[in-house]
Formats: sequence, structure tokens, C-alpha cells
Amino acid sequence: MKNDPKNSCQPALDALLAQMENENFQPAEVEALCRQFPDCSESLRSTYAMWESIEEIDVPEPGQAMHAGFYKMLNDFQTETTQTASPRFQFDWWTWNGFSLKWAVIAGVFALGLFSGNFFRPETPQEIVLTQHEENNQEVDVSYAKLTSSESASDRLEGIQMAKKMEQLDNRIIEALNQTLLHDRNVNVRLSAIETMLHFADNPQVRENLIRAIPHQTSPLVQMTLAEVMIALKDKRAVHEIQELLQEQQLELEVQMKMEETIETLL
Amino acid sequence: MLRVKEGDLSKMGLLYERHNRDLFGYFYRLTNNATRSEDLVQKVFYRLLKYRHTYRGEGKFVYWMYSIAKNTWLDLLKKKRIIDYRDDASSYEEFPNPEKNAEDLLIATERKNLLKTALQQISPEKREAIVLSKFQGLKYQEIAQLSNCTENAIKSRVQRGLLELKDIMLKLESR
Repeated sequence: MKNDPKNSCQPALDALLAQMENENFQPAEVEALCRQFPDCSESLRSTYAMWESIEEIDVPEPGQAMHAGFYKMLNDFQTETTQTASPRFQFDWWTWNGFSLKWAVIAGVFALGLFSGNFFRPETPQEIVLTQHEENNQEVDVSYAKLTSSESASDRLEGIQMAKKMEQLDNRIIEALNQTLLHDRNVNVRLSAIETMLHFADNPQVRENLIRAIPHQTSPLVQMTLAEVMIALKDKRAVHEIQELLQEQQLELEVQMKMEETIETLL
Repeated sequence: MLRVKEGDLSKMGLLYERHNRDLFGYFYRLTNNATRSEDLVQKVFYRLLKYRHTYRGEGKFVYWMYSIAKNTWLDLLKKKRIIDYRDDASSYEEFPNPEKNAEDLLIATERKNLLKTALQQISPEKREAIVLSKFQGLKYQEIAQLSNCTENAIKSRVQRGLLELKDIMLKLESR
């Protein structure tokens, strides 16, 4: 009876599969297997080639809608949990007979002593840093959620104000502010975003975002404000963006004059 | 995740930031549909929050996450009986690589499309075993636990899946 080539190569393929599981798997190891199982080299090479080629399938980046949707869901979930939270256990002193009250009082006083001792113990510097770090993370999360997923303009304004109070901005907040400036439908929210971004204009990314936002604005109020900001920042890169705005949009006369004046000042 | 379980729900934001892209990639390779994948990612995080009390902190968090992701995908399959998804990646921006000339780019794009089509033609079990092993970095043993089967069964799915992919690619390329 002839050996089925597929079955006879099974040990070789098993060895290949076992190696493919390793993160550091190298093509040279396939060749080593081919030398070990010369009759199966074709099967080994083609299986490995297929395994490698599926890497060519590229995956797009998830869209902003997914991120916004997640933070909205998280926000709703938190709100719902807070509203529905009720004490899991309600103690009824009057019907409690399972334990001597005297011992309960003693245990309570002892527990209170332990708790207060721990409570009044000064925090070590490491604990203070950790607590501050956690608080900052939480602030970033909340501010991001408000900026990206709230339907209410006042919520988004609150998110922007929270960002302004941060010592430094993390990349998520920088991008959320940028998206707010570019796409928020409320002019006041966009103006507030500019104000906060100006506050952090020493950050190169924030500064660049402010400059790049110029040609995308359609509100005269926002356009004028950005022109003022560019004069304050004295950043010559803004000239190109302002020229683009002048070319691409039919600006109100007053805005047009302001833009030309800004270009002259910057040059 | 333990912090989330203890009630600090805001920490789910950190887990999301850490894992959303991997999870999106997992669903995208399984469904070949970006919008559907985004929905599935959101469903998984919702379930992670909803069933946080069941997290026991044993083993890697990603293992628990993928067990929920797998069930979320299976629910969708059962509900919609969707095996053949339409690729909607065209709605996502793709920037051409200027270093490649037009012909190379065309061939590469065509091959990618064939691979996507071929991957959708093998059975969901084989597809998932390949994706979890190749892209999500799970060991065969871990995938076996997720799938409630033996490690050998997973190895067999990966091997047969690759063989089928190879055959499908040959057929598609010869058309």
C-alpha cells in the first residue's frame, strides 16, 4: 500500500505549526525543517508562504465614531450605575440578635482605632505621586469623554475647561481639542477650544493644530479669533494657511482685511 | 480590569485605549467589514462592563477579552447568518505609497483583495483559529480553551485552513 503523501508529511507539518506559534519564528527555521524532511519541503514551504502572505491583508484604522461611541457608552454606563447603586446590605439593629452587642461595640471601637490610625498617618511621597497620577488619569478620561461624545454643548465646554486646568495635555486630549476646533458645530465651543489650545501653545503639536485649522473655519468670529492668535504667537507658518483661506473662501470684507493685516504683521 | 470590577469604571477607558485596535483588527479579519467591526468592538466593551463581576483575574486579561469577543462574533453569526461580508474598506482612507509604481500597486491591491476574499471563504472556525493565532498572539492551547476543544483540533484547523486558503487563492488567481 502506497503512503499518502499528505499523511507522511504530517509530522513535518506538525513541527512547522509548533514553530509558527512562536513569536520569534524565523524563515531559516522552515529551511531547517525542509532539510530534515526533504520529501515534504514543498508542503512546508507553501504552508509557510500562505501563513506569511495573510499578513498582507491590511486593516484600516477604526474611525472616530467608534471612539466617540465607546466613551458615550462608558459615560452612560457610569451614570446608570451611579443612579441605580443602592446599599447591598441594610443592617437592622433592632432585629439583630445573632451577636452580643457588647462585643460588637468593642470590635467597632477597635476597628475605628485602626482606621483612624491609618487615616491620620501622613502619606509617603510615593503615595502622593501615585494618587495624583490616578487623579490626573481620571481627569483626562472624563475630559476626553465630554469632548468627544457629549451631545450637549455645555458638557463639551466643561470638557474643554477641564483640559485647560491640566498641567500638561496628553495626546488624546490634544487630538480631541483639534477635532473640536475643526468640526464642532457650536461656535462658542470652537472659540473655547482655541482659548485652551492657546493656553498650551508651547506644545508644538497644539501650535501646529491651531495653524492648520485656519483654512477650515467658516465662522467669521472664529476666523478673526484665529488671526489674533496667530499675531500673538508670531508664527510665520500661519501665513501660508491664511493665504489658503483667502483664496478658497469668499470672506466677509472685515475678515479679509483682518487676514491681510495679519499676514503683513507676521511677515 | 480588577479596578473596573471593584467599581472604578473609568479605568475601562484605559483598557479601551490599550486594546481597541487589536480587537478591531480581529473583527475586521473575521468579517472584512469595518463598520461591523466597530460595532462589534463596542459590543465587546459593553459586555466587559456588564459582566465585570465574572472576571476572576486568572490568566491574561486579553484571554478573557477574546473569549467575550468570540462569543459576540458567534452571536452575530447566529443572528444574521452572515458568512460573506462585503468589504466596505473603501470608506476608509488609504494613502498610496509613492515609492511603488502604478502597476506594482495594482498587483498588490489585487492580491490583497483576493486574500481577503479567500479568507472569507474558509469556515468561520478555521478563520478564527488562524486570526487568533497569527494576529492576536494567542497560543493554540489558549484558543482551544476559548473554543472548547483540544489543542490538536486547533492545530488541525490552522493547517487545514491554510491549505484551503492556498487552494482558493489558486482558483481565484487562475480566473
